[in-house]
Formats: sequence, structure tokens, C-alpha cells
Amino acid sequence: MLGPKTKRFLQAQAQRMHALDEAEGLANHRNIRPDLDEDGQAKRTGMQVLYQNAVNYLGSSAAQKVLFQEQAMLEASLGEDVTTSNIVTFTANYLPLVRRVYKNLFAKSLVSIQPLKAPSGYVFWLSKQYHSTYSPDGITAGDDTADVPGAKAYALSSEKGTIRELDFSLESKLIEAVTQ
Amino acid sequence: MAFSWTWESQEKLRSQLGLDLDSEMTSELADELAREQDRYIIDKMLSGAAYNVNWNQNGYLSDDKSTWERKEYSRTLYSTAIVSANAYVLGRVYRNCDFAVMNANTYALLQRLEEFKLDNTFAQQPTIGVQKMGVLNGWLTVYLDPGMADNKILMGASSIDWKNTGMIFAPFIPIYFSPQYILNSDFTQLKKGVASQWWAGVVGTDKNAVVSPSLVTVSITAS
Repeated sequence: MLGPKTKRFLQAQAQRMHALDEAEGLANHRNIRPDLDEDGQAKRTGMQVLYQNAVNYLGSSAAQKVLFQEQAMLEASLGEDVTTSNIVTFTANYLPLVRRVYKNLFAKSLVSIQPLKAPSGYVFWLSKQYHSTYSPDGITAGDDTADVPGAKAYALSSEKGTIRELDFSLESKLIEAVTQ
Repeated sequence: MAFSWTWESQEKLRSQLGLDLDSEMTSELADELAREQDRYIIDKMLSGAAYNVNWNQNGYLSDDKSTWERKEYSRTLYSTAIVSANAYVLGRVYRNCDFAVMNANTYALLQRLEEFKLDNTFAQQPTIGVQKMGVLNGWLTVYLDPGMADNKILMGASSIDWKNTGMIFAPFIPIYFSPQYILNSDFTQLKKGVASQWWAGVVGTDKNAVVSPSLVTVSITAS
């Protein structure tokens, strides 16, 4: 198990990493109110979950062998009046490393990042289906809007003046993380 | 992924440069891990593209022999193939494609187009793996992935918003390190591994869909 001082240190470090993400998010979205910037918020919240997963991992038995040898040293160092910048150890470097990897990930700006809090869990997205059949447009009730392209012109569509009813489905899939 | 090193090299580096080889290699491995994750995600997106447009790079007319004529023909990669691929996505998810990924050879074709504007961010902040190279005609961000196959462009409408996404990346343990262990019987070499736990996949119109309407490919053919 992690010692109390190490645990406090890691939690504080996770908060600092998150603060860096916040600052970076604000710098990148200078002209947008951060509370309205959904994309930026999703990114930053995702990182927060990852930092917490990382802290949890450091406290797990899997990480104990790696950490065992430096535990005593780190606890002793934090007990003395030294700054964390003087401590160059695996534990101290781990969260910045996580930030470095995930900050540079190309996929981060293109795909939905949904961090898992356990080795398996659900991922979510929305799909939209037509509620009723619209024969002139080749639409059958239950067709996904993405599967049936719209009419070439609004005038040719059966939608004229009548708003089509859509069903929104919350789609989910049970997934299991794989080790790579 | 793993790396191995000798006590001898570790001590040389420590004494000469004051650097810890283990820490240095660990951060290098972390970069490789990010590259690996990007490669995996791009591969999933490629196999999950719902549509493909072919573009024949030798399709100019037989009497088009001048450099000017052939250069004009090469512009149809954008004006015909890329625009058609975008039209497919736009017609289904009502959003334009905003990214295109390709390897260096395919990028060389695109870079010649007058519509392409180079972004020099990659020169200022060099990273390994996928790089942002520029913007095509003001709307399509071009990424270079050294690991992709020749003559293939992956295009898509990005969405980090979970509601409208076509691709999800679900990381669990960001980085897992194995303990250091002695590799050989004379105790001169050490080894350490790094891994990560995650899931990545394309999501479509329902949970059984294997392709996403927000992803398309352009294949560059020779005939």
C-alpha cells in the first residue's frame, strides 16, 4: 500500500496536472467561455479520470514491485524539508509521463475519449432513427438517419412543412480493455 | 514493448552526463506507446470507413503530355476524389470531414496542390508518430502518419463529443511498467517492459455496426 504522505503527494500532483490542463485549455480557447466550451471540458475531464486511474494503479499490487524499492526513499524525502523537484523517482515522474503521453496523442482531438474506471465498462453514443415511414423519400420507420441520405432538394422531400419525428437512442456497448 | 540495457552503459551515462538511463528510456517508451496507440486507432478507423472513393493517378488523357496538363490533372485528387468523399459524409452525418490522414508518399501528392497550405507547427514542436502538416483549402486538416499504407487517405468528421462520435478511445491504465529484471546469467543486462490497457473501436448506427458513416477513404490507383 502507498504511504499516507505518498498518497497525499500523488493526489496533489494529479491536481497540479489537471490545473496545467485547465490552463492549456484556456490558452487554446482564449475567446470562448471555458464553461461553455464542451469539447475542452470533455478533454479535461477525461484527463482527470486518467490521472485518478494512474494514482489508483500506483496503489495497486501490480505496481508494488516497481515501487517497493523507492517507497522508503520517497517517504523519507517527503518527511524532510525538501521540495518535490529534488525527488527524481518513478512515482514522482509517473503522472507527468501520463500527461506527456496523452497530451500528444493525435486521436485526442479527433475521437471521443471515454476513460474507463475499471477494466471493463460501457462506451456511449447517440443514434437517430426516423419514427415513421416516408415512402416518397425511401425512408422506412426505424431507419437510421445516417443510412438514408436526405432528398436532393427540400421541395422534393416529404418533409415540407411537417417536421419529421426522430427517435434518439442512447447506444452503448460493453467493452473490455486489452493490454497492448 | 520492452527495453534492455547494461549496467555498464547505465554507469557511463550517469558518470558522463549525470542522466539516469532507466528514466530516459522510460520516457522514450512512453512516446512509443503514444505512437502505438495512434497507429492502432488509425488502423481501426481505416477498417471502419463506410465508403471509399478511387482516384486514378494516371487517368489523364493520352494526349495530355505537357507538365502543365498533367499538373492540372493531379488537382482532380482534390476537386474530384476528396470532395466526393466529403460529400458522402456530409450527406449522412450532416458534418464536413475535417481531417485527412496519409503516409509520406501520399502526402507528397497532396503537398503539390495549390490548395494545400503548410503549417509549420510540426517544425517548432517536433514529436514522433502522427504529425499535423497543414490545411487543405482552408477546411481539411492534414495529418501525416508514417505507418500508413501507400496511396490511401483516411478522411473523417471528427467528434470528441460522445453524442455524435464515430470512433471511441477508452483508456484504462495509462501506462503500466513491469519491474526491472535481470536478463542474462552474468547479470550484466537489465530489462523493463511497458504496456497500457485500453479499448478503441468504431461505432456506427447501432451497437453491431462495424463501420461508421463519418469515416471514408480515398484510394489512389495506378489505372
